[in-house]
Amino acid sequence: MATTITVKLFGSLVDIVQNSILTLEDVEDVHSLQEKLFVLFPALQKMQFAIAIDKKIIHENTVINEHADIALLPPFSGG
Amino acid sequence: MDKQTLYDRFQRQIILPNLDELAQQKLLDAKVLVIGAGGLACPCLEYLVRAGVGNIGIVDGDYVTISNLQRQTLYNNNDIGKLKVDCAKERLLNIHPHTNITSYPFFLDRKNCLAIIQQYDIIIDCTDLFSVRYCINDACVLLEKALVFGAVFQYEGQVAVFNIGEKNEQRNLRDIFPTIPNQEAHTTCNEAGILGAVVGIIGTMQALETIKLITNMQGVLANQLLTYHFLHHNIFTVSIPKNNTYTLPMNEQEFLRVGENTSCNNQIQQELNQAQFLEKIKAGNTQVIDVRQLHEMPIIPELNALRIPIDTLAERIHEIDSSKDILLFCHAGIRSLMALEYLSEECGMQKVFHLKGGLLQWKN
Repeated sequence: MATTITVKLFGSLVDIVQNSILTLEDVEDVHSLQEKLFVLFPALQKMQFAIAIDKKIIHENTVINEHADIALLPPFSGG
Repeated sequence: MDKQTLYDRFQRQIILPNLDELAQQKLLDAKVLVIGAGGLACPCLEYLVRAGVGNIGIVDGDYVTISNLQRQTLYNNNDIGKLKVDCAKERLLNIHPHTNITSYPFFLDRKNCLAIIQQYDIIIDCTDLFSVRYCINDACVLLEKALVFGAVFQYEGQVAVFNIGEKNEQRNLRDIFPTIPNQEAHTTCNEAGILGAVVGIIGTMQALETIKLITNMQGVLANQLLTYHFLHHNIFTVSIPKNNTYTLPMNEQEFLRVGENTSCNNQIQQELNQAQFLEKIKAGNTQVIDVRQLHEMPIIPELNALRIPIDTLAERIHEIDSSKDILLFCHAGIRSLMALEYLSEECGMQKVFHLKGGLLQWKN
């Protein structure tokens, strides 16, 4: 079954994607999410960002369910 | 200060639930180090002093410039050209003269940071470069100090409180972003722009988290990362699981050794202020390179710079004389830092320096 997910973007990632929310299809897990993002927006490969699923940062490949709350969080340095 | 004066000054907060005279005494006894004296630090310092935090250290080697005044609320027109830590201390002592304020008029680096940080209970990161933020982070993990982190990007801000609770529950910046991010990709306020009210709210949130920590209040943002989007007023908070992909120095020797091998420390050593930059030129055997685009102004005649825009650096590399000290500058110090990294790391040049803060900080 095709999975449609929404991804929230923060900081400088919004400038790259030109949107603060992104809808993607056929995303099974974090690896396929990253692959899809890098094909659609190659400039993201140069950026460091954390991926959060349901408000928890994840460090390993994880299955993404249909209604998961996905966020891409880049580091901020300004002060 | 006699008890009645003390009570009169802090009466409005002592009557709050969860903040009694005992909590006030904890604030008076607390030792807090604020690193950086810019946009985050100004409101943070002011609210800490007004709340009665008794012992405060401020670290910053920077001087007040006109471009700071749009957001750095402790300074005014008369302070331009003066050391930030001196101006901040004077202003804060006017607010509450019984505060014990120690100023450190230099930039923090791996060599000096452990000795300073270990004198304080809570460390507040109000800096603006990843290299310094990771230096502070690693030192706080090593010395087991609570770290109140704050950072901004345009209309968004992040706040986190690290190294809180039991050892196995403690998190730090590397549990979110294990390696030092590329400063070039993630720009600073000088390059990305910043509104005073935005950085002011994040700095104020850092002060609030610190007061909550000192007085043992509930709801500290412990080991979580909060992101606040100020245009939409969305707050997004995530928990941080342990990340096992990094290792941190276990003692002072390792901490210093890591510094020697990372661009973090090298970058700090290769950063020059205006006086150091001019001193190097005066000493001779230097090549000064302006990495701005050719249309960018102003031109500083005394620098007598060769103009090589950063995007043409690779193709014009043969014009750079690596037998000399290479001095790089740009508008805000970001592109010159990128050029420094390229020349040091990709081209193996040893004697490369850049003007910290760029021409924005230049005083005629």
